Amino acid sequence: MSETLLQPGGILALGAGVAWGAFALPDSGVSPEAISLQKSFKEYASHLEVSESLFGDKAQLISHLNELCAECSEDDWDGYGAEAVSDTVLLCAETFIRALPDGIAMPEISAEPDGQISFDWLPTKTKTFTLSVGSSDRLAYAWIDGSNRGHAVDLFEGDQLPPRVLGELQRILS
Amino acid sequence: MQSSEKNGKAFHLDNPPIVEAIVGIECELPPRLTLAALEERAVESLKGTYPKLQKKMMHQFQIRKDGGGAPEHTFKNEALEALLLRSEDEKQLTQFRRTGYSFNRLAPYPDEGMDAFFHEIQRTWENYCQIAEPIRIRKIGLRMINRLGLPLGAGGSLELDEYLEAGPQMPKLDDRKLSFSGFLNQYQVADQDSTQRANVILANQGVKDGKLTVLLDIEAFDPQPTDSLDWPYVSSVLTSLRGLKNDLFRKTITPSCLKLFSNPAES
Repeated sequence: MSETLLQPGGILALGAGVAWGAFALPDSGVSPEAISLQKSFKEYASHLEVSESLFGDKAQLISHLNELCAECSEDDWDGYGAEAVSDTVLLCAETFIRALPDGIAMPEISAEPDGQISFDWLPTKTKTFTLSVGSSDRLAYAWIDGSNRGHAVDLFEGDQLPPRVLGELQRILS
Repeated sequence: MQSSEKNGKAFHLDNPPIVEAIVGIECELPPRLTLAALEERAVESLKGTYPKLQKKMMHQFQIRKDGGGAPEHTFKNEALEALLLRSEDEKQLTQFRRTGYSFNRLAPYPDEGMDAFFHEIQRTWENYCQIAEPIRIRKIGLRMINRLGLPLGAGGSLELDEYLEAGPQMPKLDDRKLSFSGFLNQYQVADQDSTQRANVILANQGVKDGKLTVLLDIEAFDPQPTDSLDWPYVSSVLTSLRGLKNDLFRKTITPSCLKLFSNPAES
């Protein structure tokens, strides 16, 4: 027997997704009670995201992201053969924005020719941190700090930034 | 039966309130691995015990509105989130998830408690490792969802403190008498002597048959990444997490509450 299970916990609504941070609620439960708890926490997160002070900057960036992705949703959006930004990439980029910790300056965003979204922090002329979000759970990032530079790839679990990414980003922004 | 091994303290419940027990092992998987590619082998390997396959999909629903135009809705079936392999009676299942492995047991919970499943968890975990070939473990978790039916007193009221030792609190006002009409209480604790942590959730679910239903969801977990995938290591972590989970359970509720599950006639 095979069937597709469509349950509330399995639906991701763009614009109303949830990042739990340190309080991530696992979605591995299947009992009605587990699904009910998941629903309660989604409602609570949506409630938080209505707050301008708690979520205003992120809401603005997500809105800008949606505009950008709409402009780049077809192949060749730059006239030079660029790949379209897919709905999956949009979803991943939105999840990344939700996972940014409070106190981190909002980045500039742009679409890349390979269909990924680039997040750029340029705090000074000599410091840069740039990170790409694609459709996988890997984050590729690079930084320049004066004459020092580096790059790496880290796994992104969806609720919190990987410690190494956060550490480098905070160092560049400090 | 639920039992806690830590410090030799054990306790027994004739009628445990557990509605679901979940062992979840989050893994780092090979970068290009897809669940779809594993489906055939996963189904074939477990068809004897878990003949029913369900697929949990990640769906995207998007509403986009440009200027004064009508909102544009798109619904796209995007990706496979998990393969759920259920037993014939659908009370037990094992999952190949996009982010790891799970073993779920739904009520009724057997008298032997988790001991009754350890061998099966080992078997399905080792099967998962053979098929999915995880690179390493990112987190091991043990979660129990309990449904507590707390009997209401005269007039349909209830003193939560009578049943919950570590329940929700509210400020006491001088000129107003307040009572809870709902709560969703969550906190996370870290064991200062180890890498283990726990998420504890208390949520009310309304009144039914003269009882207030409260869900007590405890997930004890170890977020320490490890390259060790072997069962003795996983088993030792699970045993330790079980002790933490049981201790939290006992200290969250009061002896009066515990009594509800010790005497079948009352629960």
